[in-house]
Amino acid sequence: MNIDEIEQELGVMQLSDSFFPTGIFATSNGLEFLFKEKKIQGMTDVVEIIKINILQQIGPSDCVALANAFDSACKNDFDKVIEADNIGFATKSIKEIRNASTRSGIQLIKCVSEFVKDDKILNQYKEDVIKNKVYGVFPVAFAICCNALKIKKEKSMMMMLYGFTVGVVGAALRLGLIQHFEGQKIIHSVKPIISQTIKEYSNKSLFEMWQFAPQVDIIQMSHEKMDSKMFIT
Amino acid sequence: MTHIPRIGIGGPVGSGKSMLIERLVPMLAEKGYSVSIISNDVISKEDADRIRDNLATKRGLLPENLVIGLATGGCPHTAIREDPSMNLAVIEEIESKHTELDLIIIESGGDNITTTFSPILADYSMYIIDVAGGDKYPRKGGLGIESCDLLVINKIDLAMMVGADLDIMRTDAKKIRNEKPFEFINCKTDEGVMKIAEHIIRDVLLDSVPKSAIAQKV
Amino acid sequence: MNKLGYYTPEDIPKEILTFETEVKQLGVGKTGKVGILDIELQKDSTGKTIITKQFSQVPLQLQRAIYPENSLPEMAYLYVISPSGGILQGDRYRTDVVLKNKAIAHMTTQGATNIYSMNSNFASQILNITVDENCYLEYIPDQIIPHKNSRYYQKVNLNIHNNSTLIYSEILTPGRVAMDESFEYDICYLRTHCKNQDKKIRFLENTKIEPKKQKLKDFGILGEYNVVGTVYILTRKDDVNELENIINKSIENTDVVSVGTSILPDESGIVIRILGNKTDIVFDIISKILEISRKKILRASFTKTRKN
Repeated sequence: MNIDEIEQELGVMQLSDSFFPTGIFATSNGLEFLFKEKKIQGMTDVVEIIKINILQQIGPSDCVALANAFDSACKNDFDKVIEADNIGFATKSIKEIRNASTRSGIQLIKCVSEFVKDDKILNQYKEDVIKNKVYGVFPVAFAICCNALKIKKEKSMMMMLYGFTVGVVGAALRLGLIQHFEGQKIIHSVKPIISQTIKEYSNKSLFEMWQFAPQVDIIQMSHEKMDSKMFIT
Repeated sequence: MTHIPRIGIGGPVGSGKSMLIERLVPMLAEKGYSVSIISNDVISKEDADRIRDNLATKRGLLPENLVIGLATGGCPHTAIREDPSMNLAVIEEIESKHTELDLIIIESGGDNITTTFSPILADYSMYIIDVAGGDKYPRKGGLGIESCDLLVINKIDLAMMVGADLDIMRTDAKKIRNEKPFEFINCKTDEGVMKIAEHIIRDVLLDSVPKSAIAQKV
Repeated sequence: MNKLGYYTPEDIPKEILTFETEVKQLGVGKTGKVGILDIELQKDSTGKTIITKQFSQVPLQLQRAIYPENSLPEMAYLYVISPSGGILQGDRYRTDVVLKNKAIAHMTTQGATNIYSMNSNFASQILNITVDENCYLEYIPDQIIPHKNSRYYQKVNLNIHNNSTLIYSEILTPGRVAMDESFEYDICYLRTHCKNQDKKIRFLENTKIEPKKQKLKDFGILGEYNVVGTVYILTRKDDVNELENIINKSIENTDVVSVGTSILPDESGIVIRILGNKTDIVFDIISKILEISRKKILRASFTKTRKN
C-alpha cells in the first residue's frame, strides 16, 4: 500500500468504527419490539432478521441510493445527489425509520465536514442540510462522506451494511438476547450476504430500487407505537 | 439558526432529576421564560410523559410537543457524552422550529457518577445527588460531581432519617468543587429550588429578558 | 388511444422485460388485448357526483354509477368490470380516473384480478388517479391473484391535491390457493408513485416479488401469513396524526392478522400494512379503515358494501 491508500484505509476504519458518532448505537431496527413480544430467541433468529433486512430492504433500496449518490458525488453532479436524497426519503414510508435515517445522516455530514474541508459536494450538501433544503437520508449522507474521504464505492456499501449488522448485534447484546461471542459469530455469518448484496446492487439505477418485507415493516411500525422503549427504532 | 441556551441535568437513578425539572419549569415560566425539555430516559418515555402531563397538559406551562422523550439504546452516558448526535439532531430541529424558546433542558438517563455532558451538547451542566446515598457522596467525587457547573444535593429532609450530616456534605462539596457552586434543596417542598432557578437565570440566561416579553413590546 | 405508448408503461423493469417474447394467439396491441378506461367525475348542480366523461375499451368496462350509501347519497359507487375475468399474457391495461369539483366516489372492481398463467410475454396495467382540490376518492379494488408462471407489472400514478383525500388499497394473494397453487408465479412488480398538485413527491413504493427467488415464507417477509395488503390514506396534513392514532387504536392484531400503521414522508398521509392468512380478513381490516376515515374526513357513517 502506498501512503494515500493507507490513509484511505484509515478513513474506512474511522467511519465504520462504532465509536463514530452517528447515534446508530441507539437503534435496534425493530429488534426491541420482537424481544418485548417474545417473538425472538437467541442467535439464529437475530441472524435471520439481519439477513431479511439486508436482502429485502437495505440491499435493494438503501444500497442502491448509496451507490447512486456515490457515483453522482464522484462526478460532481450535485443535482443527481439531491435526486438520490429525494427518492431515498420518499421510499422510507415508516416514520421512525425515516427520522432515524435523516437524523443520523445529518449528524454524519456535520461531523465529517468538521475535518474534511475541501470537498465541494460535501460542503454544498452540508450548506443545504443547514438550510433544510435537503433531507439528509443516511445512505446518501454516507456516500458523500465516503467519497470525500476517497473511499471506494463498494467499500462504502460494505461499511454501511457492516454498520447496520453491528448495530443490530449491539442491540441484541444489550437486550440480553445473545452473548458477546455469539455477536461475533453473527457478524461472521452475515458476511456472505453482505458481499453478495454489494455485487448485486452496486450498479443499479435509482429507478430500480425496491423493497418487500411486509412483516419487517409491521414490526418497525409496531416499535414506533411502543409505550416505553430503550431504542429509537 | 439561533442558538438556544442548553442546560444538562445528570445524576444517579432516583436522585430527583425529573422532579427538579418539574419544579424549575413553573418558576422559570413565572418569570416569562419558555422552556423545552428533552428527557433521555434509559428505559422509558415514562418520565417525559409524566412531565408532559404535569407541565403541558394540566398546567399549560409549555406546549406538549416541547417535552420530548429520547431513547438511548441502553447507553445513557454515550447519548450525552461521546455520541450526542441524536440529542443534537432533536435540539437542531427544535431550534429551527421554535425560535421563541429561551432555554432547553436536557435530562440524562439515570447514570453513574462519572457522567459528564459533551460541551457541544450542554452550555451548562448540573449534577444532582441526594442525601439518601449517605454523606460520603460529595467526598467520593467522580467526574459528574466534580466538574459540573452546579452541584445539587436533593432530599435534605431525609438527612436525619438516613443519618447523613449536611455539614460534612457542605464541607466536602466545597473542598472537592474548588469553590464552584452547590446548593441544598428539597424538591418536595421547593426549598432551595428558587436558588437553582436564580443560578440558571444569572449564569445561563445571563439575566436576559424573556423572548416573550420582547415580542410583546414589539 | 390505441397507440402502443399510451397503454404501455414507459418504465417496465428489466426483470419484466426479460419475458418479452411474441405472443402466439393474440399479439400485444391487438383488439381485445388493450383494455382502456378513462373517466372523469364531478359534482353536479344538485351536489351528486356524476361521470362527466367516459371512454372504455373492452376488456375494461365500467358499470353505471350507483348511489347505495344512505349517509352519503351524493357519493358515486363505481364498479370496473373485466369480462375476461383477468389479465392474460400480452395484455396491456390502462385506467385513468380524474376527480374534480368536490366529487366524492368509491371505486372498486367487480371481482378479483386474476393474472393468468403465461408461457410467453407478460401483462401490464397502468393506473392514473388524479384527485383535484377538495375531492374524496376511495379506490379499493379486489385482490390480485397471480396464477402459476404469471408475470405482472403494475404502475400506479397518484396525483393527489394536498386538500383532498384518496384512500387506495392493494391486496396480493399467493395465487389460486383452492387449486393448491401458492406462490408459483414468476414475478409481480408493483410501482406506486404519489405526487401532489405541484408534482412534489408524496411517497414512492416499489415492490418486487419473485417467489421463485425470494423466500417469501421466511420470517420478516410474509412469515406465517399468506395475503399482504397495503392501504394508503392521502389526506390533509392537519388530519394525518389524529387519524393514524385512531386507526392504530381501533385495530387489534390477532392470530390471523397483523397490522401496522405509520406516517408517510412530510406527514402527507398514512401507510397501513396488513398481513393475514385469508383475503377476507384483510378486507375486514380495510372496511374498518374506511369506516374510521369516512367518519373523520367526511363525518359520515359507512355501510359495509362488500359484493361477495
